[in-house]
Amino acid sequence: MRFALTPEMGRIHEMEKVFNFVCKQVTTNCKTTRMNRTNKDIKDQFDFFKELVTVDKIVLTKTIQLEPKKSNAKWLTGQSSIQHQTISDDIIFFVERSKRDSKYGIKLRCPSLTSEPFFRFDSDGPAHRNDFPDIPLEEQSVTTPHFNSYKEDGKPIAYKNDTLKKEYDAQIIAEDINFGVSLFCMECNSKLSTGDFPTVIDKEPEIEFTAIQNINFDNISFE
Amino acid sequence: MSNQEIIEKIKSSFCNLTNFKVRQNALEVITAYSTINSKFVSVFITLTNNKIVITDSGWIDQNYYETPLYDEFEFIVNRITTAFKSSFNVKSTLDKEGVEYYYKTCENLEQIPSAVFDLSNFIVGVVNAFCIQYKDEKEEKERETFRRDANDYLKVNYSDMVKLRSALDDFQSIKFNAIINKSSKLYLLTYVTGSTQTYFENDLRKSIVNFEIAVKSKYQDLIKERLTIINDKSEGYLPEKSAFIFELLKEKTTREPVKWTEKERILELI
Repeated sequence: MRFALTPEMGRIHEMEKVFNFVCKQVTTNCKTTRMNRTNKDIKDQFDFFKELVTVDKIVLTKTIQLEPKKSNAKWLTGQSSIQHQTISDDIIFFVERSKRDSKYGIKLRCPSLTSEPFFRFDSDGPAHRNDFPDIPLEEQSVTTPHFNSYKEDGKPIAYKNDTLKKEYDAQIIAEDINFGVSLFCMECNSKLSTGDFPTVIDKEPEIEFTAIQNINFDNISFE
Repeated sequence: MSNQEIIEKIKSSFCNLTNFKVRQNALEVITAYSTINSKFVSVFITLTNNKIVITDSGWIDQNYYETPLYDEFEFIVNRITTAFKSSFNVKSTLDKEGVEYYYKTCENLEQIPSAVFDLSNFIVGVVNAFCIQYKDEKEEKERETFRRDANDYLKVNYSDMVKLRSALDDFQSIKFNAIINKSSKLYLLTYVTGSTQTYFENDLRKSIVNFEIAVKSKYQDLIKERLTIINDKSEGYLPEKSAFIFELLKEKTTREPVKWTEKERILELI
């Protein structure tokens, strides 16, 4: 079985709970204006954004092949179109993976809404700061892996769902792109028409992927 | 609320903000330092070659901090990086794939916190430098608006006779905002605008140089007028302060500059 995590991950309404939590935070935390990182498109069309994320979607490609990314030689990328139950605008599902380590990212884009991805998952990389005055400082740091979404005021917010809050599960997901894809799909209510989740495969043979997670010190010389 | 309570709250919050991730061959410190694009800076501690090495794990170079790419201002960020490297005594090295690692080394446990502190501050500084849009957006916008308005005005009145952003055949690199070819005579036009005195005067200087070169063209006999249209509505238009440069311009043009608020004068001249 390709997917063997905790049963609660299978519950699609999980997403709604997290989303409602995020949205509840929205209404209480709209005052901050640090650096202008507000996504105005999402702020102006928040109902549309919410519909994009919460309503069921079909991923049209069963097997997503990763190919070298044109703009960055160190990354592989693959994509699929998405069919939304109620919205006919183009929606695209992107998967990207670093060739150097196991870091990967999954994103949903809707170019007619905004140029930035509207929903993302980061397996690794820096912790995000949710710098809202109602969140105590020590809780403002959301380490990876985490989801990135938006609040009603267009401010980005990172969060972990219940699965990612469990350190062991989070680590397994961070290390396996296909677990990540399944988790991501459940989080944003997407699946294949068969009810399964898409599979990501490398076009190049897996054997080329040799770098171990983080730093390979054999490659580097320090003074 | 006592001072002591406040002190303790701040101390514990700051302290609890720091997190750790145990990696395969490094300890990641998710520091309490954050950047203006809301990323917490991570540094990586590892023991190698009998030294303790603290690196950024190539995260800056690989853009793991997801900073925007303003290519044209890379030179500014490079200067900032160099300055911070020397201030925080940070070194850098490339791995086999050419990824740049910023690092500090230390000898013993006692030195680690200080090195983590310095490298974190370094990363915050560099990442923030990448986040800034150095382009003066107000200036760009004002310039674009004026250029478009002036272009439209000429197009409406001279239609096919006007060529925008055009050069004389023998000086291809010297572009005039417009060249009008009417009754086998050429009229060279430059636009001058700017949201500050500096920007405005830069435009004036450019016009002076362009006209200076134009008189050396083999088409010199065909050039009927050399004209400058100035945006007298722009904030950088300070005729008294820029009097000296205006004088120079007058020597290179055939007429007094045309103020945008009196643009009908163009129709009398051409």
